[in-house]
Amino acid sequence: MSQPTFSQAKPVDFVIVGSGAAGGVLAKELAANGFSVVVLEQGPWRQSADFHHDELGVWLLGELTGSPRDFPQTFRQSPEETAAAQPLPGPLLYARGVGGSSVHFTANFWRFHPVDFRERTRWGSIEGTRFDDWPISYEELEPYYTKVDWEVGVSGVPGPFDPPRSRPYPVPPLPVKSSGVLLSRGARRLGLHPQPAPMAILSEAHDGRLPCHHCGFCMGYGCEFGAKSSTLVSMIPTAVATGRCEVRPGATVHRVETDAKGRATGVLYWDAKGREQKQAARAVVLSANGAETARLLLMSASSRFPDGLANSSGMVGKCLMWNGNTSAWGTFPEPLNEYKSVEVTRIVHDFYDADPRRGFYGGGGFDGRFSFGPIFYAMLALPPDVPRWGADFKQFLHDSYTRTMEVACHSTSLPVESNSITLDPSLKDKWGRPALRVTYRDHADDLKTMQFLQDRALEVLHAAGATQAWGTPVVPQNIGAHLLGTCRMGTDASSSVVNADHRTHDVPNLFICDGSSFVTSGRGQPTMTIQALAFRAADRITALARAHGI
Amino acid sequence: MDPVSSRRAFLAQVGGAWLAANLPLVLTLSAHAREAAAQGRPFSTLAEAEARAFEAVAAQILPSGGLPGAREAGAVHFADGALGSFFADQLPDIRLGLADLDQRARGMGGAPFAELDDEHQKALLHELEPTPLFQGIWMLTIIGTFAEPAYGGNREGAGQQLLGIVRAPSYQPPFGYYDAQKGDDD
Repeated sequence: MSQPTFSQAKPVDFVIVGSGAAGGVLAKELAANGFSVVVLEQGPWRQSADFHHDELGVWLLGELTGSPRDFPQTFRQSPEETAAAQPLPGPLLYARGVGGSSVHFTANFWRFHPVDFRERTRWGSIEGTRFDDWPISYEELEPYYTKVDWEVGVSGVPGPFDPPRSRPYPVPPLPVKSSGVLLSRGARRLGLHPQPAPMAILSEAHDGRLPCHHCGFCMGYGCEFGAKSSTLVSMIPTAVATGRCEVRPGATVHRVETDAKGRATGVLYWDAKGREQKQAARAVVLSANGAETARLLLMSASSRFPDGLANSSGMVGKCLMWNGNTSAWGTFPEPLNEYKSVEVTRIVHDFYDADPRRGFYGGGGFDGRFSFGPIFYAMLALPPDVPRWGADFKQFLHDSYTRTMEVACHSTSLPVESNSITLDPSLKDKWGRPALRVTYRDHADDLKTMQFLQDRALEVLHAAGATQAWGTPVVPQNIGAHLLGTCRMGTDASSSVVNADHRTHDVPNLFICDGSSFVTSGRGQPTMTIQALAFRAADRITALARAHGI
Repeated sequence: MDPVSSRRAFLAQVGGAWLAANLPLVLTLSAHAREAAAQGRPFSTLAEAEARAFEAVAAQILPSGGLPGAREAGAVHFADGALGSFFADQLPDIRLGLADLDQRARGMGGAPFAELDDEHQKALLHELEPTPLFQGIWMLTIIGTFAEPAYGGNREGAGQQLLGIVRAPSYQPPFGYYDAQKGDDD
């Protein structure tokens, strides 16, 4: 793809760290608004034809995520423990490459509801947490959700619990799968209200892109048809086509540089050949995800910013939220063939709102799907009473693989300060950066919410006629793909990192926009909101720049 | 620990050994393994006796008969390539474990594991089921049966035949029985 080549020494208007869900949107919007933009992406620039159907390569060899040997991560449940190195696929699951994790995500694209932005006011405080309202509302974000629908590409139709929308979806829902039919059947028999799933996968051709071919490899995989609406296919090509955006793959940023006035002057990075480079910029935008953004700020400490850049509040890296994830499984008499097509076609949002009558805070939704390929199905997803080897094991695999579905539950995570990203004190990655150290233990209410939803999911499976149904035990999570809350948004500079414009409180020309901006977690499926925030941030940053306010 | 969590923990532990992988190397090595298997050449990582013991264990995990099992899938050839490349960290333990297995087999039935009768093989594996050796072979057998054939196993789509699925580059609805018969349910 032909693109401009900007000087490293002469400041560009914006350098954006990360080309994923948020970085891709910001690159396209800022370049389209007339600014010069350099995007630095640590992974390679793959094309749709580079993706393939390889469960081992993707899930166990880290083809898209990178290997823990190169990029180690450590994990512990509490700050009192010494964190230990963890192998694939966690504790932080994200992709490296142009398009970031929007390349390998499942593409569930739920909007937040109005209550998600005002839940502290509605529910009250929760001890041991930083539970708070957002400084923006659903109404302010709605036009940007609509931009995501149309410019990124979302399939769907409004459901009974959906928030107000200003425009219909651009393309209809994807064809229903058997898991969707059975989820709907069971839910309706229980008086619930299933609805088609909004997915960032095209059901019809849109914006010059192909529709889904139902190959069955979405979650964790790149889409070889370009039907999954990653920023790799939806935003980056448009950004580059402006002639004002240069995307540099293989560029690993390790420091944001600041001058004597405390303003950002650019970033230091290692290029694909391992040489240190500096890209000068008038303003810096961090969209590296909720783990990498926090690490970069902590690594950018200086005498002026001794606790890390933009960290006068002490909140950089804190309040990590993964969303709750748990599953129920069921087998049915006839083949579902869930190995075909997209992951999810129907969802249930009846339990979205928190309800004091449950006795704990939390809410969420669930969907019908089947997450695993044959390897992980055989290793992880069988009912507890099935033998793990021998003729009966083999027979069960044969009988059940095409007849099993999952109800995946997605729920709130409370912002707990000790759940965090910090710099590991001893382990380094291949570049010499401190390994990402994750401290995480689900709040007690989050675990109760997960169990509550799984119980409802099991009821739905039984009501749908499952011959057998079982749940994955609900235990504290040790893997997260939703990296939220680590540079939270707020009006109070003493308790938040960025303001409602995504501008850091401490550095006027440093902006942060990715999952780290979240104040609360929503109910899972955060990418839609990350991208709506990115479209809005681009508008706000553009207005500031045009008013010479940066 | 519950079975799912313990399996997940196990997978997490052994998954660390896959780190050495880089895909081109894997593909090259596994292509060699596949070629060697096709031509009846010796194994490149496992000794003949080790390979015989491994294959016999794998054939107990996913037996032959009716639908293809691990033997028909060539899971041992996948393991031979994997243990020589991205799973190399596990090779010393697997090697010691297979030697120990044959020694126990001789103690039990006077012959290496692969030459024991079915009843004695099963009895020995029930004893060994909680051990890292069994878990390691179990994982390699499953991956070697179902992973892409480029890695040296899953010969002629044996894994898909076992599961009763037909792999195609893309599909069209209806996908399954219930969406074909959806009626008033959706």
